[in-house]
Amino acid sequence: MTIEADRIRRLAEDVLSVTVGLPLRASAGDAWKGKDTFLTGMVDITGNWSGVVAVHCTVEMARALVSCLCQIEVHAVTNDDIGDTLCELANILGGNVKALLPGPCSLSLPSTDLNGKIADEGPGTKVWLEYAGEPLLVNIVSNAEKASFREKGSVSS
Amino acid sequence: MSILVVDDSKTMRLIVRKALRQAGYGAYEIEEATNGKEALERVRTQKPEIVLSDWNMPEMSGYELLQALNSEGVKIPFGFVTSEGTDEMRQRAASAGARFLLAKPFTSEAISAALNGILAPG
Repeated sequence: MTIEADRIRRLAEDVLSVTVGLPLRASAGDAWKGKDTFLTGMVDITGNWSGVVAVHCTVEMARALVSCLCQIEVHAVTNDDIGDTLCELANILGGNVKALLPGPCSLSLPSTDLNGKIADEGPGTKVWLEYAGEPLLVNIVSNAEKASFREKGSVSS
Repeated sequence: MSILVVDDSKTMRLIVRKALRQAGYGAYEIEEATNGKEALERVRTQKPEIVLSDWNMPEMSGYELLQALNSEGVKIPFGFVTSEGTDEMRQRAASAGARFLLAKPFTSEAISAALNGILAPG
């Protein structure tokens, strides 16, 4: 089952505007150009639908998110604050995505990757948002999509 | 006079704290715990007016915390503030005695409505 990108976009915008309060807007993904390190918060869903809900953003975006949420100065934001906030955003998004899925599923505890890379061509339903020129990506990818992507990659290589 | 907020996320504990203040519960002391196990100790020693707990946490989940309180015979209002608001979870929460399940994200108005009739503002 694939979740429609428009539905994910609305959900991501709602979650982020209510939780964070930052006016994020839809983006074509151009703000990604030239950025090569991304921070990630993610949560696994397993059951009738299995996959990952991930939130990726730049350090600058993560600092803005934490600063707004925790009401602290941007320069005072620590890596622990960033990890905790990205985990929680992934957790909230994951819980809301889970509610859209048919049948029983369970949500893992969230985790982070603070030195990750993003592949534009990777699989999943992607929603690109931005704030003040800084990008944020919500990506929802099922295990089936990941397997199919890997399979295609191995055939073409 | 205190409210115990249980969540493994520091950010979420801050959000709940802020929402409680905005909803008119600023006079209550806000106690915090990072998982169900820690919360159980806090309830035993500090006897808060209400427990607001996340569901999915390491060490001891919010649901396990509620079950532990029930088995100890502790009568204290308990509400879930969690990222999962499916019908199934709402039913499980209600069956275990939770007064409400508030799904994240939530507004201060939503927390106010959830606490209405359970805890007087102050």
